[in-house]
Amino acid sequence: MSANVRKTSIRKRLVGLIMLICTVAILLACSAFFSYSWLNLRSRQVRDLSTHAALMASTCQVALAFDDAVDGSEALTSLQATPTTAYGLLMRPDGSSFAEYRRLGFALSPQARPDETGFRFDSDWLVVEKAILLNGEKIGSVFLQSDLSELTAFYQQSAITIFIIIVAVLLIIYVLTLRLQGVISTPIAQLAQTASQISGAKDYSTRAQKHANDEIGELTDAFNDMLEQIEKRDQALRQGAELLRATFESTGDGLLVIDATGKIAEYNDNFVKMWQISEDVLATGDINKMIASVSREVLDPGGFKQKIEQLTQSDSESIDEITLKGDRVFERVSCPLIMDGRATGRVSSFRDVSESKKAAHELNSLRSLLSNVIDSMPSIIASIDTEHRVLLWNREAAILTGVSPEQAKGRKLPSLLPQMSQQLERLQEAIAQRNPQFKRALPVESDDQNRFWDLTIYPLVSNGVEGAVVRMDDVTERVRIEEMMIQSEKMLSVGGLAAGMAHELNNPLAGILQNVQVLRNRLLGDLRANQAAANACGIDLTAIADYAAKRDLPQTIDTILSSGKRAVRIIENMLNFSQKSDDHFAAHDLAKLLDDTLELAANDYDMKKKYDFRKIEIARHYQADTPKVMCESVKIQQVFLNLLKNGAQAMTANNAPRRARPRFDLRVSADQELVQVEVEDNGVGMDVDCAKRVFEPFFTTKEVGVGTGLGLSISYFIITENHGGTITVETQPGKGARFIVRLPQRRQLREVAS
Amino acid sequence: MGSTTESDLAPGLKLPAKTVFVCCWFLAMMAIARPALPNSASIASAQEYRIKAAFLYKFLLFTEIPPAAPANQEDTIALCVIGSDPPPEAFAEIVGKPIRGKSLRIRYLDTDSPAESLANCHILFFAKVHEQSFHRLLSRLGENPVVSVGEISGFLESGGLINFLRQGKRITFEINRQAAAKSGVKFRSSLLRVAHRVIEGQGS
Repeated sequence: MSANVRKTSIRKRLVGLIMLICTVAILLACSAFFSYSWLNLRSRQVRDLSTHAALMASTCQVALAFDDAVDGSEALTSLQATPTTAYGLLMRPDGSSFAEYRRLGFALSPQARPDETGFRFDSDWLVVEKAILLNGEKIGSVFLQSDLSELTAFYQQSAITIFIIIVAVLLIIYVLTLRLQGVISTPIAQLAQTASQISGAKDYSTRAQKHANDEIGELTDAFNDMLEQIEKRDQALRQGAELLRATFESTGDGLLVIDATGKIAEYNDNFVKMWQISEDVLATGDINKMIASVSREVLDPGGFKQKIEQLTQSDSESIDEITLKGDRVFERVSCPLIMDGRATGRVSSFRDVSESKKAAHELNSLRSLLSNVIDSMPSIIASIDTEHRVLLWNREAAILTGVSPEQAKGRKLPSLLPQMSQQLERLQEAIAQRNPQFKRALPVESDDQNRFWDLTIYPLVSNGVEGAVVRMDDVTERVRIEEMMIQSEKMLSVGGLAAGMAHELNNPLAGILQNVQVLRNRLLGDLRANQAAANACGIDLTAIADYAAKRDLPQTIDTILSSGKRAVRIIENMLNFSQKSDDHFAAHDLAKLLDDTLELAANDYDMKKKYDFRKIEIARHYQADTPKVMCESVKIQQVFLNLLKNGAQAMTANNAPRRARPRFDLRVSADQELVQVEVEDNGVGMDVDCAKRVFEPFFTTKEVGVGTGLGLSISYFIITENHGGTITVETQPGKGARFIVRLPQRRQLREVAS
Repeated sequence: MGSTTESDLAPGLKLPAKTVFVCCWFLAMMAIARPALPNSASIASAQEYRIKAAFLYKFLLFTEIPPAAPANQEDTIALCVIGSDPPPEAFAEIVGKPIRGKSLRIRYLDTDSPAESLANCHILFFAKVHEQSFHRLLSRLGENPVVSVGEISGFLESGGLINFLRQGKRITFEINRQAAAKSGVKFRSSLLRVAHRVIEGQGS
């Protein structure tokens, strides 16, 4: 239909155009011809009339010359031969009439005389004036007036002729054009028809037929080329659309496209299945109906609708979750639909995430269980990657370092745990070799005391994550106990050794002392045997005495004796180490024993020389009714005395703190099994090394000769070996020391244990 | 008249504008004042001779005269006047007018002039000349190609070529073609057409 209109239109236009061009051409030609003829005719008329005038002038020359008006009039009558000439006039040079001629029936109307050109046209007349010369002298002039009937006739004839020519020519051209326009219009019309067929049927395999090798032929070729391209593109487009549609359908998500006007533009089967929307609702394309049908499924329809309204007004991407009835959860990803850089709607994608939510929940609880387990461990547990960055950081680690797990994540382990900075090689090795690394009782200095850590590094290879798990346990207490046990074993062996040595030394020493005594008696003593021997030898005993006195022999011998006695005392003490006599065990009140010892010390002469106990403040903190303890009172008193002496010495030492008055804090307390006695001074105190060795035999901080270094070790053996108790010290340099003695209430415990 | 006088006076002579103006004025005054002096008869006569002088000039235009004998006068056309009656000013208008490349000159002759003088004229005007006199003169002229013009009836019959007539106020003329043919003078047909009477020659 449209092709038909176009076809007739181009034909009509072609014919019309040619007709128009021809009409214009003919009109131009005719008017040119007419103008030419008209001008020609005019000039011919002028020429004719001028010729007449000239003729008349020469004819009338003599009449004028000889003033013969009759002759002039006669000459003018010859104008009758030309019927167009209406009036003729001979004039003298002054313009007065000499002779005239009038056509029959001509009414004279005064006419202006022509200018130098000799003629003049007005609407109805042509007038010509010609001067009459005689030997170069103007003797008069001829004036002729002619009507324009010839011109009028020419107008009429020309008009008719031109009209006939135009009509005839246009008729011929119209017929020819109708016949011949097909050469141009038919191929175009066919091309148009083909085009309309293609656009109607969408069949791009059709091709237009080429008629000639002209521009239309080129157009046809170009059209066909274009069709080919369109066909290819169409095919590609269709394939693309099919692919897109297939993708749209085969994606696991439910997809919904809403256009800019809020209508449903597109959706896939998954969407329908997920939301169980009936096709009737979808077919309306009305988003509100769909929301109404869908919101029945949703747990919170109000919020759901509100969110949809928000989304339709938003230009940004959004991800949220919709909880449906029956524990179903949909994840909704809503994006603006951008076409040509402009948002033309929204695409919402729905995914059923119920299962993965459940799984995530389980995973979460598992994870929290795991982290709880890890957090509840008393060890520091940290997981790191190959770059030593922290991946996991348990609560113990957080408590110890003061760095929360959130802060710790991603930071380098050595920066968090300075202890590890010296263990980097181990870390590297564990990660590189995949060999677990252990390090027991790693001493680490922190603050002012040594602490010990067990370090375990497990390489981590699971899940493709390379790294390691570092576990650290604070084993300081255990190491202390172990050290103590080693100490006591050492002390026992030292004690045994010392006792053995003492026993062996005791006999030769006894011989030395006995013989020195004998030597003294026999040299200086007033004995009869001495006198007898001297008399026999003839030596005066007094001389010998003088000699001995002069050579200080008595002092020398006394020195030997006193040294020997001192050695005897040491040996006796040493023998005490291994003395295990159960003989004198009785139940004693330790508080009373402590008070007795204090009194003894205060009254002791030797001690009074050095320390004035009365200047020492005594504070007693005795628990009432402490049970009595089975012990050897003398030995316990010896222990207490040792402790008090040491304490007094520490408080009166030169470097003792002067700010406070010397003071003993004495405490006695008991629990179910043990009775504990504390002797605390506020003296100089000890450093760690001293405190470690304070119970060792011969360890002393006193000047050589002042102390034997055995007092505390004897006390140690008395408490631990003889009584099955413990003695420990707590001290810090400058802050005094506290010795703690714990004795079991019932001695058989110790017996059983040993 | 003024312009003629001026060119006569000084062809090629540059006169001051004032002098020219004064001369013109003077001559103009002369031309107006002079005719007022004679009586009415002489006024009519002067007017008549002016017209006749113009006619004489025009006759020369419509007439073919065989070449004149005197070689020394080739560049002039001689108009000879015999008789004392016409005033010289009547000819002033035509003096010097060109005719076929030659200029017109006036010569005054008397009745006793010899035949050579007569023959040297192109046109010969007998002004009120007595009948015996022009008879004699015409015979003396013989068949020389000279246009003889008279103003007395019977002049043509005496052998004159053209004779002025008076018809009321108009002045016309008559022509003797016969005598003209004898002397070799040819009149143009248009002249003949306006002539009042033409005496046709034999065989022409």
